[in-house]
Amino acid sequence: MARTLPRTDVAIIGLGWTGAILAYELSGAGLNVVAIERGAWRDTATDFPPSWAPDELRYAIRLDLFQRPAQSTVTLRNKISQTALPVRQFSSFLPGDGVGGAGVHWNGMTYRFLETDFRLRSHLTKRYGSHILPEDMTIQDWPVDYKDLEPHYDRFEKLAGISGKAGNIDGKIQPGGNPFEAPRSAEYPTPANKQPLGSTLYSKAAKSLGYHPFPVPSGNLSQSYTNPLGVTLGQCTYCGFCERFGCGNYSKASPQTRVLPALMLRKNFEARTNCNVTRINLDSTGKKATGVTYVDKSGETWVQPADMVMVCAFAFNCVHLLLVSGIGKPYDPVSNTGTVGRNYAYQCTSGVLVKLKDTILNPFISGGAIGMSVDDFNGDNFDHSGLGFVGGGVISATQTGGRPIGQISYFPDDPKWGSGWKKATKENYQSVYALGIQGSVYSYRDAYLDLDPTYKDPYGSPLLRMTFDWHENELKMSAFVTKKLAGIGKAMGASRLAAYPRTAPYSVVPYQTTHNTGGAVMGDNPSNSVVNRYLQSWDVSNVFVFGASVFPQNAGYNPTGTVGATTYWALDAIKTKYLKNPGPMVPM
Amino acid sequence: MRQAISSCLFVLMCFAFEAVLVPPTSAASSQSGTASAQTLAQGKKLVMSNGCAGCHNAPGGATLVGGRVIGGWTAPGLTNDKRTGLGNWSAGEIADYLKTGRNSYAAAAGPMAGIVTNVTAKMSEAEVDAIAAYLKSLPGKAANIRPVAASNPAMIRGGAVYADECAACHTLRGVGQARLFPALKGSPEVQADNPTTLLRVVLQGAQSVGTEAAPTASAMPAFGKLLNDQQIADVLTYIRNDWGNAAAPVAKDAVAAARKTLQKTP
Repeated sequence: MARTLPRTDVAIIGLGWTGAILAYELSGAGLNVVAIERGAWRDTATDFPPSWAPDELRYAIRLDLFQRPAQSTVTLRNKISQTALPVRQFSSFLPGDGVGGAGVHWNGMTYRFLETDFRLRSHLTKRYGSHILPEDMTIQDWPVDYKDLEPHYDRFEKLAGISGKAGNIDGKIQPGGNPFEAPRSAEYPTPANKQPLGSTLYSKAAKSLGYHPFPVPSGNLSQSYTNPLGVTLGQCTYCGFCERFGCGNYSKASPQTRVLPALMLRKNFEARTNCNVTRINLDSTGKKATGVTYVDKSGETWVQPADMVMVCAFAFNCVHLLLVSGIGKPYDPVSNTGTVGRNYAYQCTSGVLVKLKDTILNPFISGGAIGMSVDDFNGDNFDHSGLGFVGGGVISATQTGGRPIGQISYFPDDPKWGSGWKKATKENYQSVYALGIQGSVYSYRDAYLDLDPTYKDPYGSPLLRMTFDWHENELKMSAFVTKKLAGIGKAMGASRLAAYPRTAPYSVVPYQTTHNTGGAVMGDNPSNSVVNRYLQSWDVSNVFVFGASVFPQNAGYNPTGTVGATTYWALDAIKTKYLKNPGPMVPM
Repeated sequence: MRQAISSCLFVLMCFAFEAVLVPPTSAASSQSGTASAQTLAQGKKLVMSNGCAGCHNAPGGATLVGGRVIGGWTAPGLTNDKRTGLGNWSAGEIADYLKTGRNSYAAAAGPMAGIVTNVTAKMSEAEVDAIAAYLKSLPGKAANIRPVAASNPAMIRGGAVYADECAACHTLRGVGQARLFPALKGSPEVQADNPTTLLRVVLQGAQSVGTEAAPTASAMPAFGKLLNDQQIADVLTYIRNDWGNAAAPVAKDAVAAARKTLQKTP
């Protein structure tokens, strides 16, 4: 029997980046805020001390910080005609778990999307004609412009203290930055990181080919920085334990290091950890949320009444909650009706290995987002006429670490065991560099999320079912951009080179990226979206959804900067409009 | 409230301070030099009425020169002495520390964390300024200790441990990072005759205080399981005697004894 708790103004589901930002801002506006987090409390000092936290086996291999399939998982199939099976070991993508969420284990790459990414369909149609888009491609313009989001990108970058070099300030191209980037109102809050050898060689080679290398905008800070919340971050030490790890050095931006110290001083904020929200509760009309139901660690069920419900879980967990709570109409690809689960997208990653003979790369001198990128083949930065595809990706040299178990690269013909393998290990560690691409994935009618008809989670709810495969457009894009990257690899003087463009079918086994997007997309009307331009549910106006599940399709960048920007954008509207007059902020 | 706190024997604990980066005493002395008699009197009154002397006076009673061990922490000196007191801090840095729990060189931890939260962070700017002016007016005693030679085997071993385990935060030059990781260079805590605080902080770790003005409660991880007694003795000897620091070496037995004591009374 569920027990009902005293009412609160705001219930936040998930205490990662978006949950922490919302909690800080809304508690600052005088509201009582309760954040309910499925996983454990995590604190820099006690959970990630540099004396023992750089433990590859515990964190990178056994995945200590991540969602466990026993908590919940998804089922997966490539085609609608197949039967989906549960993912029993997360691998292709790794959803976070616990306070800080993905903001704890991320690498810290903090890009802004391109201006054209936000008006993708109208831009591509105008430039090339509608015939360039495959018939089943369901991309759509965002209901916000880059200009709407710019101040909010800036705000998130200042919160996180991002290190970088602007390429475009108010339309003026800046030397050393990314000339393709959308106009910024200000330089990055901290200067770009110093580059290790590998990315320096990459940058030189890219430049020699006429490309425009720039430092990756990085959440691994180049210098000590105090953000507008008064919270201080230290300088990155290039320890090489960002990805899949918490930072014990206070130098990687995370909810722990950027928001929680200030948030936890607030008397009108409360965090409840190890509490799993199983449902958003609705009133008898189905148009108003009354709060949430959650199960605590001892298995007890609680009802937390709330005036507003903020869905801040990992992308597909947000979609799952909407579906099991009956908020919005589930998407059906056959009848092409409904919206919840529609336009699920992923990212089309690929890579190139280069052997740089007689070079000592010292890959352990690294940070998760410390590297150089080239944007010449991202989005619509290049002419797609006659190429047979749209989209692209950021191509980068970011050596995220030199970990002994997982970060030594081998060529296909390197021996897999024995003394030959040992020899290759010894040689490759210092001389083989892995270059990578974050490629865009556009949305399609047959790539979507819904509830699985067979498999259930420990609370009795159906698992989320993912139906996803690569489409011709993305495979062609991957082949093209990977070839360009291989060209840079050759120019680096590679004595051996192997290129790995993405191939079908989509497999859930090799790690690719955790940039899962869509399913609760934002749009300009209820027929093409789950939430409006202020991330407010069209169907239940006191429910808001944050994070990458609101992206209508995925761009060729890491998503966190855009997640932060859309969160601040919606927060502004909530504070200035919604709180004064609760109800739909966009007329139906 | 203040009376209740003042009756407690809390230590004004400055976990580590920095010396050399500070433009030495010129700014500081001019500030204390210009403080009015009224300000100095107000500062003295605040220091006395809040019970600072209860911890920071010497075991023999000498005013605010430090050295008492209370609750497993050594109270540092608060005089203007450069090695064992606040001589390297400007009056502004002292005021900042009292108001926010940290400054460019140090962060409050241990018993002083509670004092900052409950007492000094609640004081007015004028009050913390008066305390700072008063403390800067206290003459320091001349230090006359020669550092352990850099060629000493303990210094060489300790320097290696330091580079591996400590330098990431405290930096190879021992200056730390402002408002986050305390400086070891020039720190009166690091150079205290009695290394009780150092032993505790390395073995058990320590959490600094977070305040409204400076919410980041940065922490020192515990190294008790990672390093053995000899390694801890060596690294402490090293940080007490590099970068212009000077203090007696720390013996392996002292580390073993501190482990035992901390097990009984953590």
